[in-house]
Amino acid sequence: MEAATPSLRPSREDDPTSRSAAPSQKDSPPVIRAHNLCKSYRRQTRQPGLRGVLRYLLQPEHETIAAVRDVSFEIGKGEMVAYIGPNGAGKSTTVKMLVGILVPSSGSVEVAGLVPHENRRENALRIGVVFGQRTRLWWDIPVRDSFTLMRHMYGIPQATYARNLELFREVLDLDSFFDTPVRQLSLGQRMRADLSIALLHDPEILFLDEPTIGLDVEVKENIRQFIRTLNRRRGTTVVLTTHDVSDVEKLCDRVLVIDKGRLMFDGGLERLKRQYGGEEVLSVDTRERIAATDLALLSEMPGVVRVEPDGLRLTLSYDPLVVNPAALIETLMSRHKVVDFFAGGTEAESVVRRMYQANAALVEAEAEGGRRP
Amino acid sequence: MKLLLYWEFVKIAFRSRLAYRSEVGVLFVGRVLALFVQVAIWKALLGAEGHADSSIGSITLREMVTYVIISRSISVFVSLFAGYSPLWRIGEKIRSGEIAMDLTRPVGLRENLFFETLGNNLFEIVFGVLPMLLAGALVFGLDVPHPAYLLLFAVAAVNGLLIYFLLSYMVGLIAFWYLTVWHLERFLNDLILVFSGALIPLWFFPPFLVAISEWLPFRQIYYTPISIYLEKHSLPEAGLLLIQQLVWLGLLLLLERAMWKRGVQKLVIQGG
Amino acid sequence: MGHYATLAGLFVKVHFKSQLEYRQAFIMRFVVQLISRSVELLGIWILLNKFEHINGWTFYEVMFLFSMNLISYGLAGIVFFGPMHDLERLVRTGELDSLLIAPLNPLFHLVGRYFSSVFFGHILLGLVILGISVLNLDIGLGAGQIFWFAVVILGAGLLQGAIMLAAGTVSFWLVKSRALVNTVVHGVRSFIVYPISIYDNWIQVVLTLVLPFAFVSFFPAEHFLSKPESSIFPAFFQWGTPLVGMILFLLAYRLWTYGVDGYQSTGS
Ligand SMILES: Nc1ncnc2c1ncn2[C@@H]1O[C@H](COP(=O)(O)OP(=O)(O)OP(=O)(O)O)[C@@H](O)[C@H]1O
Ligand SMILES: [Mg+2]
Repeated sequence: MEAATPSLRPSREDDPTSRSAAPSQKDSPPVIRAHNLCKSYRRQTRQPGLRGVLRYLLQPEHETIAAVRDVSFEIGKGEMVAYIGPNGAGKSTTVKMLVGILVPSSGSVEVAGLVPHENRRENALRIGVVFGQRTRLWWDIPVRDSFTLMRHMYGIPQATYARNLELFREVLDLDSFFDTPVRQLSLGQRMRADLSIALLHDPEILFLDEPTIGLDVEVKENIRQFIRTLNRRRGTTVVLTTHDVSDVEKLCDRVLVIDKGRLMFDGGLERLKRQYGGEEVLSVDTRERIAATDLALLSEMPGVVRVEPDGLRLTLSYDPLVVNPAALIETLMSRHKVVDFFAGGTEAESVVRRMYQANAALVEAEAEGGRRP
Repeated sequence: MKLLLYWEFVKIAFRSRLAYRSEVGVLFVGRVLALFVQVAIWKALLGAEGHADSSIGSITLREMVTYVIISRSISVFVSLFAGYSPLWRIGEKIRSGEIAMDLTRPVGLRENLFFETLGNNLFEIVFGVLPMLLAGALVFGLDVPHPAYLLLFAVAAVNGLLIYFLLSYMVGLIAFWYLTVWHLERFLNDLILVFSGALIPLWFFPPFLVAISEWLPFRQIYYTPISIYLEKHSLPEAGLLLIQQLVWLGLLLLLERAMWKRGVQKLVIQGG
Repeated sequence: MGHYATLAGLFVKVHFKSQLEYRQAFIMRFVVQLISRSVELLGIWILLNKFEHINGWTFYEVMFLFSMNLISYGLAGIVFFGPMHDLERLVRTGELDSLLIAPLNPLFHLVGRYFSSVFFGHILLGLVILGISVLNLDIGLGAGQIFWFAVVILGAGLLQGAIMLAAGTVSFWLVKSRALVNTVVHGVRSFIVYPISIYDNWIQVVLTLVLPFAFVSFFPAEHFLSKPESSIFPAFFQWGTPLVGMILFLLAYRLWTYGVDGYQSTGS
């Protein structure tokens, strides 16, 4: 919270492809540490009908749902980590344990040297939290008043507050709605206000749970740019969950994948691609229908995984490690009258999809095979 | 057949109450506690002599205990708490604009709410009134009147609940003009509390309050049925009381139709 | 601590700012609450107009009881009623999350955000009723008496607040707890409208040792009105209100922190 923190203003020469510049976990001590972290929820089960009512009144039954199982990881200072997984995988549950909302069922967490749920207040001063689905702003009063409240709540020195406020107003364009009551804000406006509020006190670590959910492309980009700059200039550690793979591609070096409560992958995006990568998709539109014999020829090309004709459109799935897409297009153009082509789907997205599918198969096998080492 | 549809309303209301059955136990305890408080108060007041003079002759402690048990039973239907009363439901419908949809349906909103309330009340009979009557009868003792009076009481009690339904519904209609009606719910309940004889029988009231209560419909909900139950009127008198209730019902129905017409008109013209 | 004082001031400011948006509703609530309480008093008057006294307590004496109950209820209500009433929703929707990631005591935060100033009406009405009853009773009005009365009211406020807090905390375990809050808070409160000596012994024991509402008005009023002790308990209970209030509040606060630790949030 010193006034000496370097300016965050994004400058022209920011390279949009550059990733977190801060040292990786290897050469700095971890700021987040999760060890064999588990969380189960208790849920009441109810039977239908009158018998169920009486049963419920006399002796309510519970079931437990293991939402997070045995998850361990360490995150170094200045890292930007994406925490991804399909719906219900346990992402939010993990984040809630890291920020101190939930008490783990077993295992341990440490954030900036503290156990979050035991030191909620101290922890709160060091972290910034945004839940995309929820707001921390006061509903009925202008955004400005919420900011003032936060300033006092976090005991932010005037100089820090003024510097941050000026920055956020400029970069996130808060001015256009700064005096509007929160209930009248659009989702994108509310999100920007919430993000600002989470950062007013210069937190060391920023937790974002689906920060780009429901936002348009422009606001998404604005927010990503902002987070990237924040990380580069201040070394803020960022942990974010998302379903938008471009968030991962544009922001994070490291990916943690969780499914059914278990950590399935921990490593760089590049490694994830190599491990689960493979398929990319190419579609071409041709003037004439391609003959079946030609299709057979195409599908026998090395690296081509699948060939799916659909009227005048042909969709090819191929392994980018074996075949170069440019060469593939060239071959196609030389043999057929191609009028248009598209490289369909984000690359990373298909990686993630494949990964989820692979995991599902794994988990199923595990369930069938009973115990597994 | 419309009746089948109405029966659906009844069932839906009954079932949705089942979904929140954790309330049942809590409410039961609350009601039994209220019973204890009321009985203790009358014991303290009538205790020494075991009876007291009133505007209609001597009242015994045993009669007062019966009065309390019956009145608490009726109150199960009357103080349907927030969310279930007709007033609350119609207020919500108007506030949220759902009312526009109801207007396009072939079933009247009043009928819809009436059968919903019926479903709620069936639920309350099973899970509210019966357990409490049982508890009251076992712990304090409950007088049962002559069958003729019991029959008249049943009719009077139903009439009283119909009157309550209309009152609650009409106050709900005020939402056409003034959106947040749930404050009025409490106001209505307060009026009922004083002038209906829910807690204190009108025969212990000072004359000027009795005079006021005679011009208000509220006494029809509690006082009339319970005083019939306690055989405080001759049979012809009781018959007259039933006719009086019907007159009130008619008046309220007329008023309700007038309010409804104007409200809908306002909704149609101003778009709510 | 100073930081909490500044924040408290800000919370109050923000509260009134947002109430301004719902002025009409605020005034209605205020009026309706006053009517409700006055109706209760009217009921007491009707009974004691007819029967003159209940277990030796006259109308003005019961009014004195009523005013103590009302004022302390108003104090507790301002602070706790709103938050505890809303807690059910906050837990069900997971909105409580945001209170747990702020560098503040969550209960302080919750109160700061959801307290309901409307209950001020209870205090006003209570003071008026207190005034009327004192004018009609023969009560010594020394500085010591007035000071002790203030202390007792604070203790009684803590006690009523503790009951609200405990009842509200049940939201952490029961999905629909509003019925419980209302039943406990209103239901138990109705027990102490009249002197507790009218009840069977077992109810007196419950009201003194289990849910010690008797300390809100009955025991301290015995002292102020110099009533010969009529309950089954010894005379020194007349001095117990502040202590009982504090103990009960601490217990309720423990329950609250226990509830917060078991809080499950929601899946979305
Ligand atoms: N408060 C709760 N009570 C009971 N079960 C819960 C609760 N919160 C989450 N769950 C369950 O725990 C599991 C993990 O939920 P969690 O919210 O962590 O998933 P997620 O990865 O964030 O999913 P999404 O991408 O859909 O947000 C799910 O099966 C969910 O149903
Ligand atoms: Mg989630």
